[in-house]
Amino acid sequence: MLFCSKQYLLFFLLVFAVHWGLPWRRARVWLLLAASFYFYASWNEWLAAIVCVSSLVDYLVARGMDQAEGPYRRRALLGLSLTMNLGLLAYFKYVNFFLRSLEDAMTAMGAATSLPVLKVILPLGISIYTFEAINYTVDVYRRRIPAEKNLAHFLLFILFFPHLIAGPIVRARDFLPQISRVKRWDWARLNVGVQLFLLGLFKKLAVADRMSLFADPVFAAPEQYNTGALWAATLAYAMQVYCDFSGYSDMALGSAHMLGYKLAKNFDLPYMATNISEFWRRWHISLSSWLRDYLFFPLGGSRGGRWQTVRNLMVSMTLCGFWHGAGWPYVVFGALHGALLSLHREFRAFCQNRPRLDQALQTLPGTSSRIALTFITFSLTLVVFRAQTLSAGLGMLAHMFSRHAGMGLPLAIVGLWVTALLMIAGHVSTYLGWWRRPLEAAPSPVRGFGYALTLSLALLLDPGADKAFIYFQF
Amino acid sequence: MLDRRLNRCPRADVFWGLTLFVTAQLGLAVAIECWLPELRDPRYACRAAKLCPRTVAADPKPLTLVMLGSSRVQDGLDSSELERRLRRSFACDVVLFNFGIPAAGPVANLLHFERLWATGVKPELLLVEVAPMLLSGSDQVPQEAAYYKADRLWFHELAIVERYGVPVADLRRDWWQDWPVPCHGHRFAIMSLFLPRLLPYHLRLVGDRQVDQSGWLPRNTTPLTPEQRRLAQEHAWKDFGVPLLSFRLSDAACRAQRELLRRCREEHIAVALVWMPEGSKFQGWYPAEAETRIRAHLVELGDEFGVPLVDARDWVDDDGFIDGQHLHALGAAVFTERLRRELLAPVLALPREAWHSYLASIRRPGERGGTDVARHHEPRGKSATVR
Repeated sequence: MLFCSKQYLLFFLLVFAVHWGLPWRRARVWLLLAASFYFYASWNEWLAAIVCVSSLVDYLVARGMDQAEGPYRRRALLGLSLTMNLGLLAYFKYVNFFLRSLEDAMTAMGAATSLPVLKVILPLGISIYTFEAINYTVDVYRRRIPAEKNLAHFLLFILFFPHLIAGPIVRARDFLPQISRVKRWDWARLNVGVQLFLLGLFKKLAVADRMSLFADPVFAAPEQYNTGALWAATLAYAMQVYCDFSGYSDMALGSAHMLGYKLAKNFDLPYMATNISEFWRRWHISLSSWLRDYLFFPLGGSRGGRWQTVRNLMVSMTLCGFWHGAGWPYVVFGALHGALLSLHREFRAFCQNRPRLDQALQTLPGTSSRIALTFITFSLTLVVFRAQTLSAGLGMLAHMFSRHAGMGLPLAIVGLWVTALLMIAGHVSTYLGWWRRPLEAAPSPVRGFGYALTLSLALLLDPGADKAFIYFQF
Repeated sequence: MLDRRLNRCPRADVFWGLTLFVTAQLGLAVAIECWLPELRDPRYACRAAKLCPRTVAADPKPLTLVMLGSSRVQDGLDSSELERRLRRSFACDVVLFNFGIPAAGPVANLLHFERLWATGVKPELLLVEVAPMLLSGSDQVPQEAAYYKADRLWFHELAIVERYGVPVADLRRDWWQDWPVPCHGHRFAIMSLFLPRLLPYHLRLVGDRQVDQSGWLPRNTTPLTPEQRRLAQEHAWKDFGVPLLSFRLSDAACRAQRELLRRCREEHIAVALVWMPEGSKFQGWYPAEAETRIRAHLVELGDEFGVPLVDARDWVDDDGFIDGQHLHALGAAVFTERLRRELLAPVLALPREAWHSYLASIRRPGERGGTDVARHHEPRGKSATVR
């Protein structure tokens, strides 16, 4: 059930109406829990059951940890939870990748062998709820939060349908207190929810799905297209992946707001980042901060020496890439970003000793250049991320930097430029807060017109691709 | 997140947003029903918009000849040139219109005829394409059903297409889902009208707006390279050749064809069936049994309604095709000229009262041999045969 589908609209309206119609807080929790289970089970009921069972185990383990005094028992319980969660993730998401890689390695060593390919369905959102469960048990282990006593509350934390499939990755300490809080109808909250949902819908239908029309055919057979088309498709994919994922996050935040819950902000104008470190503080914030708190810091963060920091960055980002998907392109994408982050640390240290260079980089042209360079660098790494295979991605990159003959773009390029200009205008005006004052001053009919126009344009510009969100596969 | 300055009157904001959206959608829905038919079925509407003023509004009424059919007709009949030549030859006011619409089979032809009739277009002669692929399907469901979209049908037409086997449960649901939100349901038509360049080529309906006063749009004028022709034929094999291997004449499609002929007889409209040209390779894709069944069906139609079959399958050399079934502009010129010479010129030379008897007298569909064939038989691409 996609957020931008009619089924979701009907489902959400029903849940929304019943939720606010129920006078009892506990009944609302159970309603949301039932709705969330139905939301996931509408795709696959067996996998919904697996999510519930693994969540139940996490609940019991955390309760056990809370009650246990001895560190060994607590550590053992944490180990059990981590093994189960990561084991499920490894089985469902990575088992065939491991088998394939093992087979390739054995073949390379001269042992001709054929390992079986398991028929495993990848549960939607497994990477998201696994990380949520881990952050919960680790926080309980670290005694940062108490174990949740109410099973329904804990299950709702994992299963809450707005964030279940593609995030944002919710922290237990942010979400669990919200469930216990008494909720009252609030028009302002509804208004914000509507704004976010409409913005997300527009990003998904009018931009992301439209950009996929440029990117998909080119990435499917990059060798058939000329250099210009390859660059244009890369630009289109950069816009697609941002609007697809941030659109989903906006719709998730909007849906949650309308039900009285607040989810963490997942994007903060990432294409306005002036360097790659800042980029990762603005892109998929819930994942970046999760990796920072539960992987980078436990590894030692940047407290050790220079090489230790580089090692920690490389490990964290390579695993970040691997988190996205079971394939070498994702691993290379992550490693590339680890290397870029390390390089940026070195460059920052280099600039600190050169105040004139540093000042030049802070000027408007310097800042614009840094933004452009960060965007282009990220877009180029996306080529590896999006390519069908690693060799296809590297081949496409090679063709982008040489004159390669072939077909032009499958669509008139005017649509791409118009979208790019609108994206730049939207980013710059939001960054500088230009839209704030007129919006504050606008009377309700004008704002209402804005809502109606946004919704109409989103529906009108929908290319009808019925594409699932990109991050569903992760 | 909750910025109170931006949320001074949240209730009014939501109210206005909802009201304006609903009002705009209802307004557009009503406008499509009443004044903007081109947003419901642009392909039909842009042709009807060209044809209607020339016939319904004209005084005195011209002699109206319409050819209904699929993309084969759209690409194959140079109605513009043919109309010019007929006017010159017969010194009378003739309107000849190419009403070829992609994927239009017997059910769509019937629908288009009924729509034209309802708007006052009453042709004296109707040429109806026989497209074997669109006669196929199961007994209950014609192949054509796969091409129907709810946004292109008026509500009352759902009942009509249902009568001819098109499953309408999904169409009816889609129709009711599209109707209240026309900016989504009719988005491709709206975009084609205002921002066609933002649509992928295959979704653009703008090409049909460029048809001329006779419904002709010379699309395929550039000569094809051998590679392009090979690719086009590969596509044709996948799309038509493979399905032809399991060809089944659909009872539902045949019923729709019969109904159209019955309506024409009822309204005293002269009719001829036209089997459009096909390349030699394409013809080879028909299993013998399929061709026999099609011919038997056409014989039945001929006997029942007294309509001839213009079998133009061999009229054009292989070089005149793009993919073995869609004609290149050069092939279209050959087909059009032969259609003029062998069917239209003889018919128009007669007084109108004699048209029916003349058409009934020329060869019955599916018959082989006989005086007409013997008289007209010429080699492929150069011959003139009304079978």
